[in-house]
Amino acid sequence: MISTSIKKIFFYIFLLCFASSATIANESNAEAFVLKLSNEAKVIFNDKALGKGDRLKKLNELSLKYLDLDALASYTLGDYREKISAQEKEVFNKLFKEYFIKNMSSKLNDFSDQELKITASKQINENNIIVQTKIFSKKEAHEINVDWRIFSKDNKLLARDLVVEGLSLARTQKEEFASIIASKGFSGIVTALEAFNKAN
Amino acid sequence: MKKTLIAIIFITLFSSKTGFAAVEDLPDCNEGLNRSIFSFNMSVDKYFFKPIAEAYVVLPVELRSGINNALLNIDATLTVPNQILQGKFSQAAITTSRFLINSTVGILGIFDPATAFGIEKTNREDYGQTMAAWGIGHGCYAVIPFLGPSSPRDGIGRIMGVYGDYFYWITAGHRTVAGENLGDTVYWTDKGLEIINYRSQNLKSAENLEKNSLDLYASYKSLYLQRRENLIRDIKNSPSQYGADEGEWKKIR
Repeated sequence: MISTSIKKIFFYIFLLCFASSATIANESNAEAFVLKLSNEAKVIFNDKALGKGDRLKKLNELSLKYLDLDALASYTLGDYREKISAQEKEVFNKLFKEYFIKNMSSKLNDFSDQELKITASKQINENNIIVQTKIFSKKEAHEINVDWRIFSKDNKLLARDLVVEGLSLARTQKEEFASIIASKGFSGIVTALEAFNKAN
Repeated sequence: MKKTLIAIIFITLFSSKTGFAAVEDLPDCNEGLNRSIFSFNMSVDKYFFKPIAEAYVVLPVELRSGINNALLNIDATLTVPNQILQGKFSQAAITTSRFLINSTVGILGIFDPATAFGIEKTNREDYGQTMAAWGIGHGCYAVIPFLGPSSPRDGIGRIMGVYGDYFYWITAGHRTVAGENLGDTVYWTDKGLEIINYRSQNLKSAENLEKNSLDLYASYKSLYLQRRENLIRDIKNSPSQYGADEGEWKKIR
């Protein structure tokens, strides 16, 4: 009787250790992933010889490798994603990806002079790990907190969101799209994305 | 009067323990009017605040950093009463000690020796956050001329923030506290610098937002709401902040 209980205790301790070591492994993998992603992005932004077209091409390749743009596109539609057809979703995803990459190219233009330091990471549920970083600007002598939402699926890691000083870029985008859909419908968001992509 | 006082003490002691689990709703009841005021504010910013902020960033980084420290230090006179009203007594003690050290050793708050001594910054608090902690809702979203995104709760909080700020009592008007009044100039210099400092820190991000946003008004509303949520829940830069939006991400596989 006693030996069964002891066996059970050992079994639970083993499970606990296994689970916590798996979590630690996931967190350190996510940290390495963020470092690799930011280093590769930095190489693109530091390459002053790259023309606008080549830079966008390289950013597109980087996005395919590291970002979960299909999930992000789906998230930004909010509940509206359930109301559109598969064909409309396909059109939206294509436009959104182009918009996102052009948007990112402009937003991260000043990234070249900045240093990234990982401060912590935490697996918040089965598939999501938050990697907390500080980005230090040499020119401005100030640092900002940037958290990365990393999604883990089938042993593959993909970034889904950036949270800058507590402000989620994905959520801001979702609320912006929701406002356009509320006033102009789904065609409104398609028109706005098409206009942006054409102008930039 | 006695009953009101007991109610305030009760709310103060228990409010901080209840927490805020859900994301607050912020309906836009007067969107047309809000959008008009937003456009007006953007014009004021373009021709007034932005050029001043652009000139301000030309100043040496060390000088701007000192001004930023001094402004944050003065903020303590508003933060401490609100920390007390929210029942965060230990944080109020930390903020007070930081204020005393930085105002003296740190030469009017220009330097931050308190952090070097291991006394870390506490979260900024205002009367809007205190009302939220007491369970009072936002009300409808409102854009205030010149001041920007707000809500009835935060608007009232701003007014209370003028009269419920020790710094106001020792600077503005002719009142004296313990025989001291620093004068209106000090008060208005602080308020002016606060706006310029804040705007200068957001020059690039605001520019990017303007350039890339498909609905700038909606983006500003979202950023305002997220910022206030983070301040109210005291969870800036912590993985626990992602709990509120987790349900939405779970729907995406």
